[in-house]
Amino acid sequence: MRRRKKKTTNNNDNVQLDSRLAKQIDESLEGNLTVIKKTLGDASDLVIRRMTLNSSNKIKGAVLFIDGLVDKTSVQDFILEVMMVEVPPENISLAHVYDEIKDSALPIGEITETNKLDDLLLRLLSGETLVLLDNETRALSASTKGWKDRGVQETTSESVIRGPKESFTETLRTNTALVRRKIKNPNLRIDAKKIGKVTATDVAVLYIEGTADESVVKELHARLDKIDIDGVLESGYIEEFIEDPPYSPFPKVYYTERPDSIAGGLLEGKVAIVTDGTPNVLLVPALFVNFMQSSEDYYQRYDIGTFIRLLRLFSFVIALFMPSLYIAITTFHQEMIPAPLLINLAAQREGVPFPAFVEAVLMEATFEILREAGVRLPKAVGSAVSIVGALVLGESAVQAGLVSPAMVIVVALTAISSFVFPSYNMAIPVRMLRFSLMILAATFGLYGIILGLIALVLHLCSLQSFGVPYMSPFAPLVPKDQKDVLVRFPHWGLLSRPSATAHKNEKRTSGRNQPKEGSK
Amino acid sequence: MDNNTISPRQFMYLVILFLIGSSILIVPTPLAATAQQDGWISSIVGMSTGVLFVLLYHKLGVALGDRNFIQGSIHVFGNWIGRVIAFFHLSFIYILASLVLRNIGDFMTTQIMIDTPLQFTHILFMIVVILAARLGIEVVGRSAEMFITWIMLLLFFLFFFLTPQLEPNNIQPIFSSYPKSMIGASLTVINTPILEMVVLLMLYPNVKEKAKARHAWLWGLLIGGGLLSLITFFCILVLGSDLTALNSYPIYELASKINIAGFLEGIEIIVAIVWMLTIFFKLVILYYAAALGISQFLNLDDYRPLLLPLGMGLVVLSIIVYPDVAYFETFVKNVLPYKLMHGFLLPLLLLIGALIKKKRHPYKGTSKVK
Repeated sequence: MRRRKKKTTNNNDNVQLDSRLAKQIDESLEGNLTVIKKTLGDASDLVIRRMTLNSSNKIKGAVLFIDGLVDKTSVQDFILEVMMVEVPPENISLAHVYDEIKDSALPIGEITETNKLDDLLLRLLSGETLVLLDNETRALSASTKGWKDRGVQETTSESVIRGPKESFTETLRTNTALVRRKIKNPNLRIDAKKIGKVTATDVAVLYIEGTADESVVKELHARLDKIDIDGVLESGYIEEFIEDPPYSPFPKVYYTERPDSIAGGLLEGKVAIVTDGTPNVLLVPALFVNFMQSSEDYYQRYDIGTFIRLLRLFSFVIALFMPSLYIAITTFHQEMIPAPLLINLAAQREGVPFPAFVEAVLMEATFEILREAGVRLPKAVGSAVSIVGALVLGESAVQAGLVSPAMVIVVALTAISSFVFPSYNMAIPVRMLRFSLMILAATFGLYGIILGLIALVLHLCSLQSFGVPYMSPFAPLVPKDQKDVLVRFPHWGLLSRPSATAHKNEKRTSGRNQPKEGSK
Repeated sequence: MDNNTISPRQFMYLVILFLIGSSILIVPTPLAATAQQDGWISSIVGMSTGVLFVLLYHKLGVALGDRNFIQGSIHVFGNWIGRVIAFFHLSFIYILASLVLRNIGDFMTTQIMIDTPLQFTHILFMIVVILAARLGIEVVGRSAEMFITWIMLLLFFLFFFLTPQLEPNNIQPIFSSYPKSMIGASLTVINTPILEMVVLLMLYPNVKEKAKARHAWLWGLLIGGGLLSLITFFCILVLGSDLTALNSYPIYELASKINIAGFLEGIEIIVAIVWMLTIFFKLVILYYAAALGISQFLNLDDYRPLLLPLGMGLVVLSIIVYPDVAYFETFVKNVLPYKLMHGFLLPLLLLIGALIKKKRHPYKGTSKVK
């Protein structure tokens, strides 16, 4: 009851705000300025510059901007100077001053005209500069956005050895420009949206028309339009709203901060979602294999690309199954271990007071804690964590006889393997499912692990990302797409785009450009 | 009711898995017991006759159009007689499912997890089967595509590492056993995987591109039957016909012979994994068919609410369906008339009925009913 009451009052607030703002611009300049000032609560960063134009006619005008969001030099040079010094000539009639300013005076690329107060305020708050005149129900808004941002820097979370080093930044326009620079094609579409009732975050949807599946684009737009939330601070907010089945540990939206990965995805017919305020750009539809691939696979030669992809698959299996297999085999299926190794293991475990399962859970949990601590700690104390982790918990735990050395090796191998995936969010389900598999192994041995594996594969096969089966092109099997999944064919051999996402425009190359042996 | 579809390729994989599932462990024993060293020939003969049954089933599947066996029999023979036939067919599927579940339980509790009670083995397995049936046949078809590669790889490893152990003397003299015992042995193959394929008719309406479905079924039979014959062949070659006939699970025994460089041994778990995966798919198909058929028999809109209660029933039935393994081995040998009735006579009857009905009402034949 209490909650419901609260909700209705909130709604009332919003309605009031809206009704105050939906108004048209008033004829009186002072009236408009008072409303704007009142709405912003006399904000200290709001700058209002009143002026009198055209000395003979005494037209009053005002320039408004938010300090810090605008590029001050361009406001100074192209708006204030023009309005106060140059414009308008004496002989022009009062009625034409506005048109004169709009059409021939302001040397600024992007000028919008509006007569709605709410639109005006939104523009003001996005960093545009407003020009208002007395006795005029229209207002001009000049795009003078310019604020301190980080600039395009080297990517920190997805580094490569060969390939572009640049990464996305927090500014939407910079990010779309980074993509546009890679794909100079008129068919690249950039649709703009605003999401979030309070934050009004800018969101752009990028795709290549003619390659991307229209139904996916349409579905994405529909899902984005349905989002009803007060604020979007990171693309993660959007991700959770547009995901297909929300209850699955596996990521169904790909994110990256590398412009080249996004460009590659767009070429394969996918759709990107750029959110203002975060360097992480989303890409849909995302398939399981996408999370196992890195853009570097395409920059290195195809043989090493193939090798690394197989290595990743192998690490995936190790990261998921290694501890549970160790538990199952040492607890239930000792006959599988060759005799010399079995004696060795038994000797190691002699003084250990715990069963293998408890030992494994202890070590895995310790590792998860260490990893989380390593991420959050300031850089200066980072080395302390590694010393504590390596020496105290590894070496001393063994010497104290709490865990066996073999278990330390298993946990270390598992941990290293889970860092091999290029996508951080594919390591998350692996980390979590590992524990449930360990429980199955401790109770039912290999039987439990295999049944867990079957359930896992069933779950993966039931997932979809925007109508595309998650395990495609394995299930359903698409033979011609296998060239670019586990192996990577040379670029002259990758004749077609993946049919799961780009079935409209599959042809990638004509296929007759294989380098000939001995040709000059 | 259930508009999940599977591609002909997925159907072929399901046929292979259905044929190998549970047969991979239990077929070599009666083959070697009846036909001695010629058991593998009987297996090939039995599998070849499977072509006739597949053609019969395919013809029936086409005649029924987009109806499965249960809907078809109700449609062709009317509400009462049709339902009696449907009831018998459903009981056949359900009992078969309980036998298959018991097979995996027996194997696990005698060979791998000796201390685990049968009930819990069954319950854990059924949970995953119910999950699969709940997700629908489309997801099952896709996961079959995922698993078939692994199964083939594991079987390839098995055959590859066994090559040093082959003993050609074990299959000689070829064609020396009596024709009667050879035919008798091939009947066990017809009995155990071939006639059970009638259950696949429950999935037939879900197969896309009907034109390719017959092709897929025949290829599935060729690959699945070929693998079974190959396994029997290897069992006899490595173990000899006597040991094969004596052992309950000869292929498991076979895998324990593998010894690579004196280090990698005891990898019979490979067989256990293959068997678990294949039997899982066989049981899912049977269970899905049973649940779907019962829901259609009762005119329900959805089969999913039936999954949990039917699963509980299946666990109980699988415990009481036979008392011990020795009983089961005799039972399998003598069950042929029952299987023939469900796998041959009833489909034949239904086919004749469907063809007559089609002739009489040529325009109503394939209209979609719920």
